[in-house]
Amino acid sequence: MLAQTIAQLRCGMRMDRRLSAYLDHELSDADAAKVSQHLMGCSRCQKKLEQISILQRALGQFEIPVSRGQWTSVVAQPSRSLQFDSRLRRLCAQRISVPLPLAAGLVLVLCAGLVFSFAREERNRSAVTQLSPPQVETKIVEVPVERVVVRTVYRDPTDQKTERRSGKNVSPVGPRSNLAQKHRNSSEWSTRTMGTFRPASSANIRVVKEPEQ
Amino acid sequence: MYVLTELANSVPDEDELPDEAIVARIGSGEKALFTLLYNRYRARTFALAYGMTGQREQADDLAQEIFLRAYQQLSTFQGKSKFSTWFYRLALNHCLNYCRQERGRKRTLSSSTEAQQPMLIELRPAEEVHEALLRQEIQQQIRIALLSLKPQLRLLLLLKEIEGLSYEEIAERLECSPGTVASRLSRARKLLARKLESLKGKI
Repeated sequence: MLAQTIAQLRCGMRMDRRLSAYLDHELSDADAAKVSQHLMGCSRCQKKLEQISILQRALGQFEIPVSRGQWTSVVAQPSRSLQFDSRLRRLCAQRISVPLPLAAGLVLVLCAGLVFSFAREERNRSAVTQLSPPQVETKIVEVPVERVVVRTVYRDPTDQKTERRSGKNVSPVGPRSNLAQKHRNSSEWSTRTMGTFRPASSANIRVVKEPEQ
Repeated sequence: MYVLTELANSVPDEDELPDEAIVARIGSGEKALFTLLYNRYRARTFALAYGMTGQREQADDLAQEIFLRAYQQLSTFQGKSKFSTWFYRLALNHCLNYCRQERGRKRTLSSSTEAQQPMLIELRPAEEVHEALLRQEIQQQIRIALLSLKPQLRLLLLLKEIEGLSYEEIAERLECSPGTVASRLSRARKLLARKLESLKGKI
């Protein structure tokens, strides 16, 4: 069985080209006689020969329609611009073919990009919502005798600079604040804060003794 | 794109002139004689173009382009070979270039108007209609099988089966050896025979 298969394979490699030439009458007489003799005993080659002869018959029946071309002659060459126009039109008419793996890769990259950008946006949004509000460090110190007023003072770095420059012991509350000025001058200290909101970092606590009346 | 005029009346009655003599006279100014060459090579050029494209409209365009190119390059023919060899070499190269350009496009024969030719079924006997349909189907199958081959192999097969050229003549036109022609032709037939095996008993 195996020997027969090997023999057929050898026969195929050797004979395919010869069979084609045999049918085209392109072999020498001696070679044609050898092929004829071989065909007598080889069923595989007989089948091949039949296949080729079917093909030849089919192509022999191939109908060529009548040309609609006209009896014409060229009397004028196309101008450059017309040539360009026609090339451009042909180029536009052509479809751009992209290999499937490349197209699939591009789609994947696009999808990954979209997902990544959405995830990033979502992360930023959650970071904003999770941001804790500014915490003001507050301490209440109880002093037994004296009345204690807890005052939260917000320091503004710019105001500190002003304070240093002037060399005066100015309240850390911003000088621009009229409310702050009023409270500084008044004898009663309020327990409320003044001024505008300051960041938590610039806040501290000062414990002030209330002047005895 | 091109300006074309009817020149049927101005064609001289010089059918006996060999191609090379006609080319020489065209070179000396008798440009109208090109119509003689056109007439001589028209049918075979169209057949070749049709075999390569599988569609009549495209084949007409391709054949027209081949003749225009031949007309434009006629001055390059130096008479070293036969005019027919020169012309067919030009035509074959143009066909191959055309197929390369068209490779990107996916043309399906099912969408071709060629396949659906109108038939007056009611006016024909049933046997004739059946025969016509069968013939149409066979033609369609052959065209599809031909177009599935690579352009070079398809061209080779057409030159052999449609044109009926010998290996020597094909080799001369394609500028290769007869041995190469034999092996490529065998390969083309092997590929095509599998696809047309179903036609056994129908043809």
